[in-house]
Amino acid sequence: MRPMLRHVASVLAIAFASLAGFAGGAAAHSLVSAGNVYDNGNQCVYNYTLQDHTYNSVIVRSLTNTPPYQFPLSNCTYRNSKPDGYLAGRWESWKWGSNVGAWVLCGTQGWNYGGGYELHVGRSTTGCGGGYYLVAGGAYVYNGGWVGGWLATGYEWLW
Amino acid sequence: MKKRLVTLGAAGLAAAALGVAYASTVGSDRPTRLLDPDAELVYVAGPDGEALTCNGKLVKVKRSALGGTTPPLTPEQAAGKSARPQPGVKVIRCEKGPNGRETGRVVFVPAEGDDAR
Repeated sequence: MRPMLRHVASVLAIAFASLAGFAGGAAAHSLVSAGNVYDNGNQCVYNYTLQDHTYNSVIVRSLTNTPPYQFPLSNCTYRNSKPDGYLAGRWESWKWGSNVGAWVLCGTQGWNYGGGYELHVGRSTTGCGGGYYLVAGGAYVYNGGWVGGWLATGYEWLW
Repeated sequence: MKKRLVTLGAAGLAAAALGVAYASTVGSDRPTRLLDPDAELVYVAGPDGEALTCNGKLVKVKRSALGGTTPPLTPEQAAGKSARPQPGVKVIRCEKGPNGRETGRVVFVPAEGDDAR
């Protein structure tokens, strides 16, 4: 190869590698929104909503301020296990619809139920083509009625 | 030396052009509003990933028809469901009548490529 062509090829290769690294890095990180979405002093509901490239999930935790044994009182810290059917979670994948200027529901696993102190609802998804995506997650615990709430991650471009 | 500078300059321009092309693909049509969790009517994605149209019309669907924002079952109704495998991802498509024509309503169907189907 002539020296000049070799230079061009090597610099272009570096440019491509940089771009590929940038694109890969943009797609590889996770977006998380988490926190207590309900707290009445005795019953807390913790919501952990995740968008991880092609994996979407919500984790529901039933927590309480009331400590077991002689532990100190601490807000929404201790496990508060519930019977089967008392925890419910649902995630929804939303894509920005550029043709309507609004968020468009891409897919969901629907409501899932469980018991204990934690419920994990999650699945890989093929998505709805390239675009900006976010995940909204609903976390609920039955405490004389369903209590809890929704969180949404930030959005990012996914292919 | 001059040749090398020209070469580097040309390569730099090429990289810049690639960067602009990439950024224009990724950055186009950036969201301009937040998701409204309380919206009663929402758009749903069609097979092309854009807002679904049935019979040539954009479709908006009630949140309650999509499962609602609070769990629809009581713990008694839900008990035992956790022992089953989690359902696969569902997407929304136009409902078709017996004659194959779209009715204007929508239905949930398993997502293509989902391994839980």
